[in-house]
Amino acid sequence: MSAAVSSQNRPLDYLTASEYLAAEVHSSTKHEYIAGRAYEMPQTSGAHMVLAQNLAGMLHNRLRGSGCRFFGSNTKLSLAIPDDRYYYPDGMILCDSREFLQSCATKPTVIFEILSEETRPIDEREKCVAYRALESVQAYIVIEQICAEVTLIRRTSESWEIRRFTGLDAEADLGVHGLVLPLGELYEDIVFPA
Amino acid sequence: MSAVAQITQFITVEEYLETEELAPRKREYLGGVVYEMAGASESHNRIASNLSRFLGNYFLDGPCEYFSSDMKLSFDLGKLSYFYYPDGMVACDPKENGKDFRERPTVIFEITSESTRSIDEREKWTAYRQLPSLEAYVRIEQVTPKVLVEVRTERGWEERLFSGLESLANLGVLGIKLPLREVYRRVEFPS
Repeated sequence: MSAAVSSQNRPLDYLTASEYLAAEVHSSTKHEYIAGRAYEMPQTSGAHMVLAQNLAGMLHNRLRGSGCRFFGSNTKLSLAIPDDRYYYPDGMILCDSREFLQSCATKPTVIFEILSEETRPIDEREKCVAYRALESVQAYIVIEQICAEVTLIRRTSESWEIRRFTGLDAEADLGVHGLVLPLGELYEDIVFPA
Repeated sequence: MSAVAQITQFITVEEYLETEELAPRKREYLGGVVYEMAGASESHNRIASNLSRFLGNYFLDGPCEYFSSDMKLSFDLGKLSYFYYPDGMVACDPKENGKDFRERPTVIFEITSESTRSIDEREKWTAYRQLPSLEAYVRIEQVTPKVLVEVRTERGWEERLFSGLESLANLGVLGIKLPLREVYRRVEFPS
């Protein structure tokens, strides 16, 4: 039986990018920023964290001396496509050393996301489009949590190609930075649901 | 065991449009990747029918027309092309007559539920609000009588919330006033 809530100039949760960034510094949880709104990121599972650690370890070692570094999910990614967005990808490879010591990157060459049921629609749709809009991005890699499967979306000269690597014996050839990631190593200590 | 993988292939707009006619399920197109749409629940279907009846009657004549979810919405964001099938659209541009898709709708409706909420709230809202023709974006909850309207005003986009079956959702666009009792006719809400 409620009447309409009268509108205000804008909803309380519409923020400018500056307001978002200022709030984020003091926030105990991470928020993504899309279309003027901040969205709290869900808690990550234990498996998610182990996968993230394995990924970081594998990439840190393989990228040493290459001029590129791997960054985990505490680093923001800033996009303007054209709307302003801020994400915290599960992983990024940055090759511009000027960005190494910033808390926010703009030019990753590779972006990783670890899927969860809650984030799947965003990772497979919204982010699949958003990340490819960045000219620097050569590859977007999506990592399943519930089985050994890695999907690679890689930029080609004309377009993009999709490759899927499945099973613990598979090796994901990313086709960029000479990276080949054995799934057995990536999924070390992960137990899949029955 | 493979998870439910959504990202399966890259195709051009032409390939999408050609194959979409014969596709057994409708597919959305987001910058080269196609995503098969899931089937709709009974509540979703009922709400869709109710909207079609109410808005179909409201826009019987005149320049504006109501379309339900078989009409594609087409637009580009940056260099990437998109095709969606919104649950409902009011289209008023006579120049679009004769086409299988609309690019300049005035109102878009989406019937939302737990599984689509993040997409309707983030991905689609971000895209829809960039359509120059759009005056209102209406999200209709499936499991509770609640309608959320984003309406374009001189001050920018404003949000209006209407809840309860006695409520009247005044969109503030084209004189559309949706009685929630009509929107939710026959719909059973989980207790």
